[in-house]
Amino acid sequence: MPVIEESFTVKAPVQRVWDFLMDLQAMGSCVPGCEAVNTIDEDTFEVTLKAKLGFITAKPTLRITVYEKKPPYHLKSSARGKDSDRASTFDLKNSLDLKSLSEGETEVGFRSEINIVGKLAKFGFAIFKEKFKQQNKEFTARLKSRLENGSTGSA
Amino acid sequence: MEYARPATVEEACSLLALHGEGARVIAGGVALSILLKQRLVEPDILVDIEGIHSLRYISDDANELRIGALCKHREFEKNPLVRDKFPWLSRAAERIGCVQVRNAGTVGGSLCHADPASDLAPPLIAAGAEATLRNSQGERKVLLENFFIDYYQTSLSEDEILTEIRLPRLSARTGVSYEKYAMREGDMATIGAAALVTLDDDKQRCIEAGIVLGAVGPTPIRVKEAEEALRGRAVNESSLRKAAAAAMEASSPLSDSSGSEQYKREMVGVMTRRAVSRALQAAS
Amino acid sequence: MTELKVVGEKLPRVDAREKVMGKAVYVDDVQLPGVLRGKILHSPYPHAGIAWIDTSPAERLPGVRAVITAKDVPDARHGACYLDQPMLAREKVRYVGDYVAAVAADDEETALEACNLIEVEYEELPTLFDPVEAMASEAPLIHEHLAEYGLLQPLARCVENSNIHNHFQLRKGDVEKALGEADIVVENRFSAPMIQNGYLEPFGVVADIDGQGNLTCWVSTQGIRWMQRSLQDLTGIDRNKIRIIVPYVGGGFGGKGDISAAAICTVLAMKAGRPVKIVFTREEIFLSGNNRVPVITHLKDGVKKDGSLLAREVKVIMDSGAYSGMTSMIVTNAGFGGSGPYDIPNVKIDSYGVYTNNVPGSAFRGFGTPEIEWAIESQMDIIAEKLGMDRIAIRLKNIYRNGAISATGEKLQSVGLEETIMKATQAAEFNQPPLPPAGGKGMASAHKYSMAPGAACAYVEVKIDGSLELRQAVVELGQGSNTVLAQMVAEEFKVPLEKITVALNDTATTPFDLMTGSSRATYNMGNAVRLACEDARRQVRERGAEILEADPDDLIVENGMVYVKGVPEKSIPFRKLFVHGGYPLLIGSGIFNQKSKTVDLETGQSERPCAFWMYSTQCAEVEVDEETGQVRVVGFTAAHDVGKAINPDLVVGQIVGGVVQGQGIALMEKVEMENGRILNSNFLDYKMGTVHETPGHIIPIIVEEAHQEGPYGAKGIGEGVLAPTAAALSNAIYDAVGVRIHDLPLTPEKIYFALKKR
Ligand SMILES: Cc1cc2nc3c(=O)[nH]c(=O)nc-3n(C[C@H](O)[C@H](O)[C@H](O)COP(=O)(O)OP(=O)(O)OC[C@H]3O[C@@H](n4cnc5c(N)ncnc54)[C@H](O)[C@@H]3O)c2cc1C
Repeated sequence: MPVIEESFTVKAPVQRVWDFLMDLQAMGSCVPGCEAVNTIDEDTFEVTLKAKLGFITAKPTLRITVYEKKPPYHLKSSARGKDSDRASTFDLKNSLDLKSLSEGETEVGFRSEINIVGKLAKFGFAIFKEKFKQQNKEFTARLKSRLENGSTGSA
Repeated sequence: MEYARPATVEEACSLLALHGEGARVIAGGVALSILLKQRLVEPDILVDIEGIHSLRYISDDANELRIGALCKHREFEKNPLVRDKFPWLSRAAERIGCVQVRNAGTVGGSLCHADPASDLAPPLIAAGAEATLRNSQGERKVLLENFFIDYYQTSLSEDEILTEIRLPRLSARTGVSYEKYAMREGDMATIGAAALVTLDDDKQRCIEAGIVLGAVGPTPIRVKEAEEALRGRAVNESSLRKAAAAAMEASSPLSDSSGSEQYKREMVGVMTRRAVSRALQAAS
Repeated sequence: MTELKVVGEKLPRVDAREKVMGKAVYVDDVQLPGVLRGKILHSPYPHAGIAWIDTSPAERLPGVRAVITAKDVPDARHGACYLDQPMLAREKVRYVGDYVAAVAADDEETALEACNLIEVEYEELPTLFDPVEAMASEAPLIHEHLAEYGLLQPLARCVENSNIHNHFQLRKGDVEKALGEADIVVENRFSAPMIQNGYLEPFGVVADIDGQGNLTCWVSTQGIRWMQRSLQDLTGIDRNKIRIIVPYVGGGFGGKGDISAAAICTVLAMKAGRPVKIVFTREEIFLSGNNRVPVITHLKDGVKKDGSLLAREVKVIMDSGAYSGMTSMIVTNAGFGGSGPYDIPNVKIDSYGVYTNNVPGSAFRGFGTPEIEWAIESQMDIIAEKLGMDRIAIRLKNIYRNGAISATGEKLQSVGLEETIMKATQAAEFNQPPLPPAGGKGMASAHKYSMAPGAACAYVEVKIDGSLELRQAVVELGQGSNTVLAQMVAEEFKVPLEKITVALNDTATTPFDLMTGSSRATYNMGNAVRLACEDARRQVRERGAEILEADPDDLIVENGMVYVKGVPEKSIPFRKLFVHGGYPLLIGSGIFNQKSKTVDLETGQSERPCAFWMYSTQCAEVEVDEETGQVRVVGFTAAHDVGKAINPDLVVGQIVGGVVQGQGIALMEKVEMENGRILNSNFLDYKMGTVHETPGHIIPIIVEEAHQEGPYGAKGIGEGVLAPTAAALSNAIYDAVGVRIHDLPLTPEKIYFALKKR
């Protein structure tokens, strides 16, 4: 199943990037197709996404659990959930690593292992992977623009 | 799920307008029935347009070939007019799936399904085809080149159907060809490459070129850089090499069970070369 | 031997008409009133503990009649060798696709929806996908209690506290020493991936339990008795209350018969109190773990300058995936012939069956042999080239001939290998240059065992109208066994084939047969049928003797009549035996059990490890597109020693079908797996050869080196066909463009990149 790895740099200090990413609403606004984010407890939250791929529309609700956290550098989470018609299961393992390159520059690296079972898995894996990549690009772009166009940081 | 079988384009369009997102057109059903069976698509209503007999024709105007959207692949593969004046199109149709698929599948369905591996889109785009789209309000025309947006996505809106493909009469000394690379005969293309070459009066230089790739990106890809490598020049080893390299560069194939990204890119080069060489032969 | 009238004739199949008319009945055609549809919930994880399962949301769905998990079934396991596989995962799942729960509902849609509603909490465990890693001593265990599992096959030996469920070893001579004495030593590694059997008819089962608790199970399987026995073990129903009916089967190739699913279907029927039907989707067939097991073969050969093989060291690793299935048996049986059809004084073979968290593999036409022969016959060409030797000559120098002592110490009989080489290469014009610019020719020879011991039983009933009914349990799965066996009955009674009917497979009426596999039907069941016919004829003669007032030994049975030898005028039709004989029951029975000789577990030595061997040689001619690496198969010549062709048309059918199948396997087939998950479980993405890829021409050649113990001299054919195909093609590609691929399939991509490196 698709493994997506991406890294990019943003012109913002590491703490600010971390804080932004930990702010669910702010972060959610960068995820393409994110329709709702609900906090369940400190390390658990639920997101509803909507994604369209050609003739398919998927609307999974994912429960995200953070199980490893070393602020402001490292976070591991898992996400599981089903599509709205319950016929597909999504299962993701994510890791996020921030590296301070300089006072005003941070390298963001993340990795997702995506596992889809059921109906949607019948759709071409290669295309799924491609679509995820596209979505990630968009996410990265939004994130960068939010972080870099906001205040230049408190450092 | 409801089912309707309108007899006219107007009726079909008003059904689409009425049901919006919940409606789905079905023509030959070759592509759609698989998605329905896998429940990847679950419409409220199926609008079966196969009863609209007025959309099933092949005609030849002085300036263009017109193909009704409901024309079966097999029909224009075998059509004497197409075979005679657009032999490359007939040959491209011959390569679609198996006879059963060609007997059931329609030209419109193949294009609207927008599988980037469609065998018809690349040669039609290379030859400058235009699509006619209709809704209750009227019709609009789009260059087929601009019709495809993403994997399985076209610029058709929910209430529109594709009614016709028009192919301009090609100028003299023009050759078109389509090369298909597939693991097995009858498979969807792993790589499709279409080329159009128009030669000058002396048949020395290429004055117009079209290069379109299939199956190696979210949509068919028109490779302008490859066309430029040919246009205004003699088609020789050096321009062929440049065109092939440009095509490889422009492609973004995905690794899957029919080959790795790297291999497919190499094959884009080979198929592009072959397509251009064949188009050149046909033009001379 | 008297002149044969029916055996050896190219007669049309006895089932041709009903199949062409679409009247032949398969499991999915079985319609019972009130039948429910069953669906299985599969594991999404390759290795995970099951913390809890909540079936209540599924049970609440209208139309759902039964939901079961491991809690609802006895704690029992099944397997062909090790009893290692539960019908529903207990405590943990071991592969993506493992059976976790099942539902019976009014229709398939509801059952599917209910499966989606079942909540399972998994706890992931460390995974193993590489068999070599899985063999390492520190690897996590996939079956912690392997050593305690019940064992059905005395020849399998696991390595305790490891993932190795069988290690077979064969030792002959002194390989180390011989390698030292050799002029050249050639060492190579080859692999064959997991492939799918790709039969047309999906696996199906219908289970019905009557008021007395008797189970009737219609099921598409190749192992009727094994199915019956396993159902007893898994469900707790007494074997005498289990009736298995196997109608026509639409292909099997070793992979038909999902025992877990049949047991699940049965338990669902018990719980719901209604009959239940399960028919797999194509995706489920891939997941059910009956794919061909992937094989890695290492070869190390010591050869003299004159081409004679001094020593061969073979190491074979079979990745059976999560359960051992038939793989443990394959490890042993393929080991017997693991050094190829060559007379080599020093042989050392180690073959291993290893658990991983991949989708299980199991038997496939050839039971390990084609995978190993692929390596050996590639290697033979490599050696020939190194020595500058002719490819035919190196084989003729080393092959088994009558009387040779095999690697296990068996004195070989009925070895028609040389004849297959001569005839195939001649018909293929092997020594003529191939087509320019990039044509090539390749050959490969092979042998394939047929297992022993294993009983086959048959009844032949003489009917009042002069017809005969054969009751036996070889499954007709397209190979033509019903026709071949009916021809034998017709021959024995000297009647036309039309007089024979072959009964449906049904444990209530058809006697024991070990299984339909290992190319054993014609030889084993053929012998049983002949014995049954002999017995029936004896009864006919005894009855006839009373009526004709003659000595039974003087009577001839022919054409539905009995008469005194030399006095055909004094004959009576069978009808009279009944009318004047008090309506006797004339049923002959035959039991044939091919004995084998004990196998020494340390050395693999046995004077008779199997029933018989089949020999073959195939030549392939190809053309390679050097720009793309694509291969076109110009032609194939396949010579097969079958002992005696009972029906030459059917032998040709097996040869041609096998070559076409083998070509697809060689050139394109591969189950793609990533972290234990199958990526191409459908016929769009899983490529098999189609009619378009069939070779330009196929020349089948039948060689008949009679086997003394075979019926009319017959051996077998089915599996032997695949054994040489892949290597013949690969050798042809090498001949064409100088590219040697070590890992199947021989895809254009591999050839292309190898060409670039050339
Ligand atoms: C086994 C197999 C092999 C194949 N091999 C090939 C191949 O080698 N090359 C190739 O190019 N294709 C191949 N195809 C695809 C197939 O040929 C085309 O997708 C087919 O022609 C679709 O036509 P259809 O009329 O059956 O469309 P349908 O299945 O009826 O419809 C397809 C889609 O188009 C929409 N649609 C159809 N007509 C219209 C219209 N007039 N206006 C608006 N929307 C419309 C439908 O809503 C649907 O979304 C293969 C398909 C199969 C199943």
